[in-house]
Amino acid sequence: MKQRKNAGLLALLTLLLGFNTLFAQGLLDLSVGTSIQDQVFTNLAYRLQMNPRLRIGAELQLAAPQYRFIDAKPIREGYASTFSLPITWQLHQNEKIDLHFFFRPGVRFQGIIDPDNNDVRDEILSSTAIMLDPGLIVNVKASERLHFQSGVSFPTFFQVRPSAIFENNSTTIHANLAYEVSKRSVLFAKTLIGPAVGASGDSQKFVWSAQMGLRLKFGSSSKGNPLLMEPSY
Amino acid sequence: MKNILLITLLILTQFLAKAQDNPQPKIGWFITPEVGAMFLDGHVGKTVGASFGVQLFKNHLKVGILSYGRSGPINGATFTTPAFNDMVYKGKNQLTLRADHGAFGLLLAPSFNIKNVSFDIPIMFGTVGGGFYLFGEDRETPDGRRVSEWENELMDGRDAGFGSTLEFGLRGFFPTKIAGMRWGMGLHYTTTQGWETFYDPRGEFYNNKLRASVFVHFGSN
Repeated sequence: MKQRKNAGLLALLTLLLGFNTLFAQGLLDLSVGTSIQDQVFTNLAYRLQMNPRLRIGAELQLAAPQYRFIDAKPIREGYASTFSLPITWQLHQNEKIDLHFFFRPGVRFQGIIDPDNNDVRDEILSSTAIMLDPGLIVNVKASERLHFQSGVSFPTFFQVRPSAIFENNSTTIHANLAYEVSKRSVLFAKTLIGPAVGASGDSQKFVWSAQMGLRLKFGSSSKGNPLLMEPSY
Repeated sequence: MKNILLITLLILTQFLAKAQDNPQPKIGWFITPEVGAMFLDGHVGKTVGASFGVQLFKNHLKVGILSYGRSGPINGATFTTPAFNDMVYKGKNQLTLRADHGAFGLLLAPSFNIKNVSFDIPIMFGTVGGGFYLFGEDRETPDGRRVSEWENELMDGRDAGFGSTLEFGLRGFFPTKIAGMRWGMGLHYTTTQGWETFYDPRGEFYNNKLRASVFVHFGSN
């Protein structure tokens, strides 16, 4: 089973690298942040700019929770990991501003090892959730090297295990900043805030998140806008 | 609600994809993230939200979605009420609660210009959901049940409710150096219909109230 997983990951990596070499510009993002959910989280993402309008990617978030929910009850420790496939599609462009449709489907795993705190790993409390996050992003070119983004998105989580619960839906607004340090690197900061609702009022009522990171560019630089930063929850 | 948002986004996407192919598009777009203040009885509530949609008739009419909320965690005001049937929760029969709220609806906004400042009259009708909830250590229930189960029992199943909302106002949009980006302020009059809770059985908490908004507006201009 493990060998099959490894082979799958290797095939995916080869496919991504092949795409990158042949067709697309590659963007590797690494960021660290904090949020209402997590003491600290880190995001690792690889994105392919397929053409000037379409960008697809894969993103992995690993987090140390401080206020998450399993079965609509809070957890204040443990682990959380989310794998998602962010997609952006440019809808409109003028001299200084462009508009992008954004969609991020994903899956989230979280849990606590030893939830009864008896110092024996005899129990694991865990959950799995499906994430859907549609939205709109506006990119503003303050200068050639400095862009910022705003917009709105609606991250939504459906817990599917251990029980099925509509966990949370938020209306988040974003403020992102991206500065091109060199031809191959971009420094960025992302923030989001917004009201949230779900699980009969038992899950998050408000969300916020802040992170900083570095983007490295690979391949052709003529496609798309490497200073466009996708929101991440 | 999620389905409506998704469908609206997809329809907007289709409109804009067509507009992109047309060198002189008749349909524009807008996105307006906002923060605001609701002038409620005895306190001012902080709100966060956004509107988005399309601009028609040479930008003289906005049609879209407005969604905003007055979340409990960013609003410290508390409200006290006796529990239903003199029930006792953690040794107390007086409940200390926070309030949260969300409004979501269709936005229609006729727009006009005076010199280089544009104005619109945003009219939103839709749904409002809101309630009163236990906060802080009171969210850790004594028997491990979900806190909403306790809230239901302590407030006779009426800790929260849904109703309809109608809101109208006036917003001003001031130009910036970047074409397509404006900042602005608005004043809105909010009404709710059919929303009532255990704490507020008359449903006046959000009804007939003023709301101010400050925003950044992005659009195809």
